[in-house]
Amino acid sequence: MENVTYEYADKTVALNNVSIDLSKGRKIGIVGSNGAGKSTLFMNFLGIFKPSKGKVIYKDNELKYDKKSLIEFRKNVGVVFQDPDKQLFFSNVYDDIAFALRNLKYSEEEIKYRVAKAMEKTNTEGLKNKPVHFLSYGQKKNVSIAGVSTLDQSILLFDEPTAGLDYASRENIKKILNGFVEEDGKSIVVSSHDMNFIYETCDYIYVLNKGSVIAEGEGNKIFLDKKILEEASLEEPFLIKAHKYLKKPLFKSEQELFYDTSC
Amino acid sequence: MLIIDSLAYTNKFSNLNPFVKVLFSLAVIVISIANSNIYVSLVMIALVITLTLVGAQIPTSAYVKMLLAPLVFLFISILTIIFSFGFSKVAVSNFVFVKQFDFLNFYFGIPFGAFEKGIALTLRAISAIVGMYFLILTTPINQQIKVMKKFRLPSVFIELYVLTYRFIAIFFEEAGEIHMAQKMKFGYDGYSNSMHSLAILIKTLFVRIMQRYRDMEAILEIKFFDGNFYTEEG
Repeated sequence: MENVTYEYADKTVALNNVSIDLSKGRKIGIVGSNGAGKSTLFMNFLGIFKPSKGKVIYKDNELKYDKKSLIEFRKNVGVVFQDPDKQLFFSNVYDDIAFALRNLKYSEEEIKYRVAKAMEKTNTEGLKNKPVHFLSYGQKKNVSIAGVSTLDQSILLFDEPTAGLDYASRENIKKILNGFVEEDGKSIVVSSHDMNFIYETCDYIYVLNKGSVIAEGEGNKIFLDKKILEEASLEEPFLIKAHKYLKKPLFKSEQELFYDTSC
Repeated sequence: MLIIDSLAYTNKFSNLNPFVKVLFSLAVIVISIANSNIYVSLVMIALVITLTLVGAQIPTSAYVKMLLAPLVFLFISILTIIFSFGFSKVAVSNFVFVKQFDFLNFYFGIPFGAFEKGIALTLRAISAIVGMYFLILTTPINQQIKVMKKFRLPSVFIELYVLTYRFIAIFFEEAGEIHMAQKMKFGYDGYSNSMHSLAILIKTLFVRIMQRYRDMEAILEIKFFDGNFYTEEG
């Protein structure tokens, strides 16, 4: 994505000359405080919003906004929105996960197979025939992720995947996302201000503040730079704090810290 | 989501063949409209209500609440059918019950046969309503789509039906949330507060629904929705 500027109809500039290259890492994190423009950015990535200036480039081609190209494009790029209630459309879990597949007219056996696989990956097998409104928030989140993972998209966007989730659900999401990257060879893009989550999940970071990218780089480089984080109203991840202030070695996950016997 | 939606999934008839349920309700509705015999209507209402409450085990309190809403409207419109008025003695000559008002020489009363007509009409409407309720309370929306597909209804109609159904749910969700938020801030203490809050509620509701509509549009687009709702058979 290059030099994208997006203005809302009332001339509020939501994104200002933002350039983001999603090929810089397999797990890209986009961090920023509330209202920094993360969600708007995603809408631009997906071609739902058309940038007022600049362009979205996918595989060397500029994204075109006619129906056909958008459908082709979205077969490669999927998204999980923040609010699962809005994402789920059908009232039965199986039908909801199968919704996109059916729209693309896959055969019923293929759908069955793919839905089963998606449910296995997201730990939602037990929910198959349940109506969506009997699920907890975390379960709904998993179902909405399952719905996206049925398509073999190479890039998946996650808008605030951990917002409002309890500890166990968060760990579960972490596992699911890692599975997508390591087992299925997808690339993921995660937006969040849950810094610990981003720190443990992503390898390349963009910091967004008031609609502009104020920094980008490898995870450690960004997170160790307190100035940048403060400017973007973000917290230092716990493990960075442990490293900087408690003089622990820099770990990538909490387990490593607590099972480390050297200190 | 909507209570009718969750009931549709949890009732005892939920997994029954949807065609049977749809045909049954349709039959009830058609018979209610065609029939003008009070006793037939009464028997049918009793039968359908029993089936809904005892057979499908829909909770009685929820059911009564649901029935009350249309009944209020029904009652008001029936009043206008039963009672009539006229401005001269001739015009009201066939009235069974007449009351004269001196003001403007105004006659008010019940014309001959109007009472019977009103009752028959009420029963007819009620039996059509309970027939419709039987359908929406026992048949989840995806089963309804399946049946509509089988009957080869145009996909535009099905699309409209499903989106309307979804939007009723969204409407109530949003209205409920706003109302709750206002209530917690004492928005409904006293008459003037209530009126003020209600005005804001309506305005906010409109804005929010437009927003929800846009969100939904985006999601449908991302999931490759093409105007058709596909169910298992294709």
